[in-house]
Amino acid sequence: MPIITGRFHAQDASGNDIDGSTGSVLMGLGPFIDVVLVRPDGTKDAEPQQGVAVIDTGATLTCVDAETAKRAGWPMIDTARLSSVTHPDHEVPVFAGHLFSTTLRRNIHVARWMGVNLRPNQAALPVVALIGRDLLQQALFIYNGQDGSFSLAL
Amino acid sequence: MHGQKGLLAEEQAYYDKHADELLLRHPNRHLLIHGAELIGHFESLDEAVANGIRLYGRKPFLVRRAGDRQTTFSVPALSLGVL
Repeated sequence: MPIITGRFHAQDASGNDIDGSTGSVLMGLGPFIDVVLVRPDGTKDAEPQQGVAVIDTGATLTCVDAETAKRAGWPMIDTARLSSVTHPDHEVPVFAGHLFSTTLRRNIHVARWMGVNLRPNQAALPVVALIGRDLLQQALFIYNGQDGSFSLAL
Repeated sequence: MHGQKGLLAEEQAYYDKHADELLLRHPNRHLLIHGAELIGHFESLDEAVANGIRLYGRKPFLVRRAGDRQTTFSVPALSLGVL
């Protein structure tokens, strides 16, 4: 099981790392890995859909941005209900597909991806997926706020 | 998600209507349903999805294990507008 450690630095206008910035960068962006969407049959688009997957320990299940999944050719295979304390429950599509993590250099397989609206083009990070507790069941995840780093073995 | 209501409505209605019978006949099998018809039942979800793609390409189809109900999940970051 490969283990990766992520540590982010803020950079100045010249592109140099700013000392002591790692903690605040991790706090601002959250732990994430780079990913590419791959169809269930293993094929990728000529123009692959890519972005980042944020590790979200609050999410029960792993999610994908629904529009990005459609563009990547992931088939819709079911529907699910997204429950919320602030809004009425609503129905969302469920997709089949894989993520290839360029950070971990391996496929991330989840049988059923919940399709939600992550607005990847409007946020600071192009978030195309949330890694939820279903996937983290098989993982070791360490968030080291003091060091401004996280480690993930998946 | 707005505009998603009613997706796979026909397949869902078929599944709900025949849920008991499907579980009795195909326990632990992954069902592939398209329209109001059971197309096949498979050992694994991947197998059912592969057959669905072969038959319907990118069009939606329902794959669900016999006996399973619609999944409910929560993502507080979405509800609270953090993302």
